[in-house]
Amino acid sequence: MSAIALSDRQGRAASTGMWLFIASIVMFYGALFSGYVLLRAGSTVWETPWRTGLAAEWPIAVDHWFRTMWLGIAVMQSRRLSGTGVPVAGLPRFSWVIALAGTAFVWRCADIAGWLASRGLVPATSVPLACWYVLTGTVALLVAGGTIAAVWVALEPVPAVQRARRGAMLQRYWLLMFVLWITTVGGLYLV
Amino acid sequence: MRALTDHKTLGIAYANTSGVFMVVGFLLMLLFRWQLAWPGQPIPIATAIFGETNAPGGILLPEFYYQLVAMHGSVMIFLAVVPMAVGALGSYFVPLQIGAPGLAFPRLGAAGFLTYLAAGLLMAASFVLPGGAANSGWTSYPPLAILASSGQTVWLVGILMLGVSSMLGAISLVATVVAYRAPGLTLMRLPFFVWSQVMTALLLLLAFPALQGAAVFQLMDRVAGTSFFLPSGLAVSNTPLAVSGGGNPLLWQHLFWFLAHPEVYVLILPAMGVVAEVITAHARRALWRYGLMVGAVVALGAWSMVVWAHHMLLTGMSTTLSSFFQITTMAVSVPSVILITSLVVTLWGGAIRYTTAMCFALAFLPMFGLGGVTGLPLGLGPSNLILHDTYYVIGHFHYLVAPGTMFALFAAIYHWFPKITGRRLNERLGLVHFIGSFVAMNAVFLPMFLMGIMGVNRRMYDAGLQYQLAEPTLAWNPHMTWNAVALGVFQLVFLFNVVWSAKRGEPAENPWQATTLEWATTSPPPAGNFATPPVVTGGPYRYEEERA
Repeated sequence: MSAIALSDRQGRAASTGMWLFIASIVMFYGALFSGYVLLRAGSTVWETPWRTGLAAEWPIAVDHWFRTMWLGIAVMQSRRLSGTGVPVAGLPRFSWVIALAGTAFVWRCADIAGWLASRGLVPATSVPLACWYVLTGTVALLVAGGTIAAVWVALEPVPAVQRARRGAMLQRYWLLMFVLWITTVGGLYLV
Repeated sequence: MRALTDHKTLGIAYANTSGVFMVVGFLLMLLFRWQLAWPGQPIPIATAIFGETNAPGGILLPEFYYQLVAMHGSVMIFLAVVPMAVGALGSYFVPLQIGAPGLAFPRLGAAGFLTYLAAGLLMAASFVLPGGAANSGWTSYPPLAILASSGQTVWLVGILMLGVSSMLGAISLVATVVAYRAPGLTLMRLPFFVWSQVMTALLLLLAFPALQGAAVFQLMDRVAGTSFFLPSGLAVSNTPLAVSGGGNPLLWQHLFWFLAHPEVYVLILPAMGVVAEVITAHARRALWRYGLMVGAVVALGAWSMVVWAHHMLLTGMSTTLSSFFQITTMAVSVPSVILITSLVVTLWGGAIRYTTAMCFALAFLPMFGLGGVTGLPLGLGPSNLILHDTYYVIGHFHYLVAPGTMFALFAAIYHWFPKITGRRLNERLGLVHFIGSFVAMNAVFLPMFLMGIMGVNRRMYDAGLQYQLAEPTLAWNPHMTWNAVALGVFQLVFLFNVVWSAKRGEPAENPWQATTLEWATTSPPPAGNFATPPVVTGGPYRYEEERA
């Protein structure tokens, strides 16, 4: 098998693998989200702390706007990694920016969870709060995974073509993270 | 880790590990079958092995009995049959059958195996925890599962890990088929086994995450005190539970069965693939209506994801929803029938060789058929009302998985053993193994249909001693248990055959003169599989050419 043919195959395998991984994540998150929808639809009362007095202390809209912005930065940077599989100059730098934005997002999620817990609002308090913890926590975990992947792309010394391919994979993943986060915010606060 | 990046080593590692788990699952079954045959009678040396807390005076306590039953189901499905059918056979033979030098992501495949091994060891080790292993059935229904002992938490962690393992293995397998096929090997020239493995991998990828999501919810309920599956006002032993409530136990059932019904097809599709390979090679005939079979296997996989709630027909769902799931359940039998019919018609006019592999493959057809046909009454509301939670259900799914999938796995081992070792398994011992297994397996499971029709509940620790309706069936249980023992004895013949033949069996390169690509290389295959990359110019089954 020639080197070019092998590279083509590796590229196709990587692309297929990434799409399958994304499909699997979508199904996982879909199970969590559909659980939330079923629980919420089946409840006559759905009292969330941010609708019953906590909103004044916790500026939800601003907080989530910031978190969405961090993810947005990550996605925008990931789009610069590679759209076509062509090697991109400065790729490690973009990867570091993504990693930073991802870290900021995860830190903010953990901070908010700690803040709620310090007021006695733990997952066991009510089903709405439990849903909040699980859905936002899951996105935070997935973002943490993407952050580690971005660091890996930045650090591992591999040929430029291979690095560009990894950049393209990273781009798809971060787009997925953005969609998941928008779905979470919309589902938890706007519906 | 490095050795496991070779797909053949990986396949053998899966085969050995899942084989060990199969023995463990079988031994668990023998233990609880003793209790069903002779309720309350002491098992010799049981106290010495399981301790006074589980088996005082050699008598299994109900709590321990339910651990055995739950772990038998979990081990057999998640740790034995699926890893054997997908991890072992898929990893070893899919790259060979498509002319690839290996898996697309060897490290991913190896990581998947190690995750599976860790999950299996964790779940098995949970027997030593205070309160023992998981004891809420392999379905882990809440609220029972949330109130159960700590083994249930370990079970949930194990399930999460198995989901990760399945995902890694499935991604590697599908990407291999997409990107690493030999030149000329178009999709419609793929061996049917490869199609079945790809569909199985896709089912694992898309269905297992639902169970992982459910497992996260249940873990939260158990560890963090949430109430995803606990309704308000729940009381245990007249004491209200100190939880917020507001959850819904049926949510678990929906999420669980969204995986667990496709899981049945995860068990069956690779078996269909194996049987197709064996029948073509040993009947010297190309598959009848190959294209139709491919369409059927794709349809079966896709359709299996919209039938899950037939497991929940008695949960009070609306008539409309119930009707929808009854219709989809009846409809899913159409592609199954197409597959079985194609396999049977393939035999027509064939030059059949009654090798052990072929005997197991032929036995699969009626056994799987019986399992499938007996599923139809369970998919319809009125008959489900009578048969739900009875031994009929046990008989039904064991016919699909035990004489069904297991026979196909044996067919695969007898058929591909020469490819793996370069030697044939002894045919005489093989036939003893086949006949013994066939008789014993049916003697164990066939009476269960009658027991179920008579109304005997599947979950009774004492086999129904206290129920008049179960009285006539009590005498059957000892016979079923002795046949289960006999089944084990015949597997010893098989194990002896494997060990003996691996060293002293008759040398063989391609004893069946099979035409699929895995036989185009040496047996066992070298590193990289093929000395020169193969080029494919036709379909996988070229048996008509030898007749011409």
